[in-house]
Amino acid sequence: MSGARFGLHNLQKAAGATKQAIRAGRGRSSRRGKTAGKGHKGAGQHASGRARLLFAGGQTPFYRTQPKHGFHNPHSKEYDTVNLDDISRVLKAGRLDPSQTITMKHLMDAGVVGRQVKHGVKLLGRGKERFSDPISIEVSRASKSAIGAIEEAGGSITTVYFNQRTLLAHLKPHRVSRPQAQARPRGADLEYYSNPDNRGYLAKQKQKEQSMEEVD
Amino acid sequence: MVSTRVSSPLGGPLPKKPQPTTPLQAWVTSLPAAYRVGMMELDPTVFGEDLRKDILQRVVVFQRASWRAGTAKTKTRSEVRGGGKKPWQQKGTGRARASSIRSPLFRGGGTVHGPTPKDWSIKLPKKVQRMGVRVALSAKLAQNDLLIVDSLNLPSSNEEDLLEALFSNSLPPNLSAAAEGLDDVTVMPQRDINVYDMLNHPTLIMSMDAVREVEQWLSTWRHGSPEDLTSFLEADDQQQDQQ
Repeated sequence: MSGARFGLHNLQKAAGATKQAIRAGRGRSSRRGKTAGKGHKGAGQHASGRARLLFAGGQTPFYRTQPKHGFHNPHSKEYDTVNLDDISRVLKAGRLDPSQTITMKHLMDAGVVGRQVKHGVKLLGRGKERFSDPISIEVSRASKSAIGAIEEAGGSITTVYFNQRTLLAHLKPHRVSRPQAQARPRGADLEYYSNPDNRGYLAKQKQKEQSMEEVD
Repeated sequence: MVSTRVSSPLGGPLPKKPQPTTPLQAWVTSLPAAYRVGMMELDPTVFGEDLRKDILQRVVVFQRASWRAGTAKTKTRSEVRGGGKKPWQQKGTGRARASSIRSPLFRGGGTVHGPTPKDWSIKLPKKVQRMGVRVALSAKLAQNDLLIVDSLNLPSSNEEDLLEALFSNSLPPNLSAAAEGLDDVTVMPQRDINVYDMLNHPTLIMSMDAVREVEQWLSTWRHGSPEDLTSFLEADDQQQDQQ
């Protein structure tokens, strides 16, 4: 290490980090004199010298010959699904630790859900007849049958809200620059997570217990 | 500095840099008496990063660009008030033809190609942003500019207490209040730690708790799980406590 300590005054780019721009039209010896690399004549000489994508020379382009159809719902959510038999399987294989609360991150690490989770994970009830592990689990959504089966086995389940930002921070912490504050649900999400029947994390504990008794 | 370029014999991707397997050691100081009360072990992937000045440069440029307000604005001839009437007739006056008193050629006229509000921020991969913080922390440690203290509690919110603590080479929840009037001292919670402020000040003072939190955020430890590292590092803290 050479003498001075690192400070704002002595920072440097890495060697070779910058390249000089090519200066077109600066004389014959520059290889880009005269026509400046633009060739002779025609629209290609101009900055906008190329037809835009899908332009068909003036003929009606294909995409405009066809009528519009369908629509895109900006509020739709796509949940990755996990079934109870999936969870039994990885528990048996030792890929999930039943002693701690199982989150979506654990499910991803265990390989029950893929690496590309879009809006969250929904727990479904396939395999509920044979489900007997008393686990504690946190997912985005859960079906009634899954909730029933988990609690019957002596476990607990909470549904937790994540938006895209907090979901990324939860599932792929290496992809965010800083730890993220928890997101607050709004509208329909707020209703879902305040509902004790969904075991929402915003629902009152007492109401949840009441709801559990009703199921029994 | 001498750098040797490593290349894979088959021309494939470079082999991953081997990860350090042993923790780094650092003194822990107690304030205000500046006693060294023990050692603590640091995550080598956070405090033992290569001292990449170029990464620091990229992060500082990124940070400073993001701070620019980008509110500079001048008025063009259409935006300057007035100028609707033709100043004098087109022909016959002997004067140069003129269409508007707000033409750029007139005093008080509009500006041509002046600044308009724009967003100056640039993008930098998040991994590089985080690496920058690791490099800066590692540089502070390597330069002996990192002071780790057991606690940052001050007796009061007086500047005097803070100065005394600082100059007795010791340190300070009265902390931010006490430092408010001091230009040379910036106080921030550990989650706000950033390359610019670390480089802007010669010395970095962190509490042990802050060190642990920053490590948790920045660690790239790959030998087993993060829990393994925590227990590995904390086991040592406990040993120190017993001593």
